[in-house]
Amino acid sequence: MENGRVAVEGGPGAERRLVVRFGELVERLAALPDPDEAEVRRLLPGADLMRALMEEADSFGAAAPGTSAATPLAEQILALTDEAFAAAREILEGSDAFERYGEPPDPTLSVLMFRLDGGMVRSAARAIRHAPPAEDPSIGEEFV
Amino acid sequence: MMLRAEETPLLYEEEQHNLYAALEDLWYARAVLRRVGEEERRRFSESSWYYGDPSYYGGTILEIFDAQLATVLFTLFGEGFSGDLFYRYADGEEEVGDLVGELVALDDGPVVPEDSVYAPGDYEEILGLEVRASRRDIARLIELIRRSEGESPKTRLYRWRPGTDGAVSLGRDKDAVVMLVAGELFASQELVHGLLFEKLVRAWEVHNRG
Repeated sequence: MENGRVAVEGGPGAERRLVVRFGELVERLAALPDPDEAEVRRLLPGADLMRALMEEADSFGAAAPGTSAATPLAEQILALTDEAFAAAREILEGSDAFERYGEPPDPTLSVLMFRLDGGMVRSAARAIRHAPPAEDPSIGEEFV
Repeated sequence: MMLRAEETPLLYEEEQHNLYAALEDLWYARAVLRRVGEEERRRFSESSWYYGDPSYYGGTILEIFDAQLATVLFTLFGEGFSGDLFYRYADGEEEVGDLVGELVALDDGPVVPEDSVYAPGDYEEILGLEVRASRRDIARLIELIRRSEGESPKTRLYRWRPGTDGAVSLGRDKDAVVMLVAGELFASQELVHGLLFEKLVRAWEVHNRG
């Protein structure tokens, strides 16, 4: 495998093993355009709210300032800010446009995707998807 | 997992649908908690608040509403109350009458739901909410609902017709009151939260705030 290439072992339909050069992956992630920090800060409570709803976090984080998982549920919900709800809806709408129309996420939304993607499964898959051409061209259609 | 060639979505359609519904559920819970007192908030915290819409995962949103109703009843009124949501399909007022023929309106009027987000006759779907408790508590709840309506048009309330499954399942010393609302199921959060649950919250407010 050349540096930065993705290697696929196993043919289509069979169990496959994918190997990625980690250094190359990090370089590519580092080369992504910088997000708008102020926008990230503004939308972060919405991402935290969605993470809690997706059960990827045990508290509402920045969506409910001053609370934690130990805070009674009613107090946590009462602490949820209007801004967090608005940001969550904004992120969902961005995701919806991505899903429906293929509109690529801007760097800010990309950062929030990482935030939402606790297990990094989607993010890793996305990075792999955009890695240099695979040695096995069949990866262009699907990855199982 | 299969990834499409074009791009990996942040959230798949079913997740988006579920999260949109979940946000509405949480927004509603916050609105109710702002209206009640410390004791009610404590009871809410002892319960769970279910959210989302599992329709895309093989479930039904009525499961969520049933679980929410349990929390709303316990939060507002404490122990001794239980309830269920039910859904019926109808086409026109006559069929509504046939469909819910096991119900008797408390005012002996026709069995037609009066609260609706649509003009009478346009509806095809009916949502019902049944609250069960002791005869005394149900009588009290009916009285509070009536008082909460003031001079505004009265919601038609129902009991199960004697001998029907609903009546038989209540057993001794138990009673139930049923509310109906007409509208499309896709608007169910608006109907269940905004109309059916609202009757219970308003009843609590009349009892506690006058």
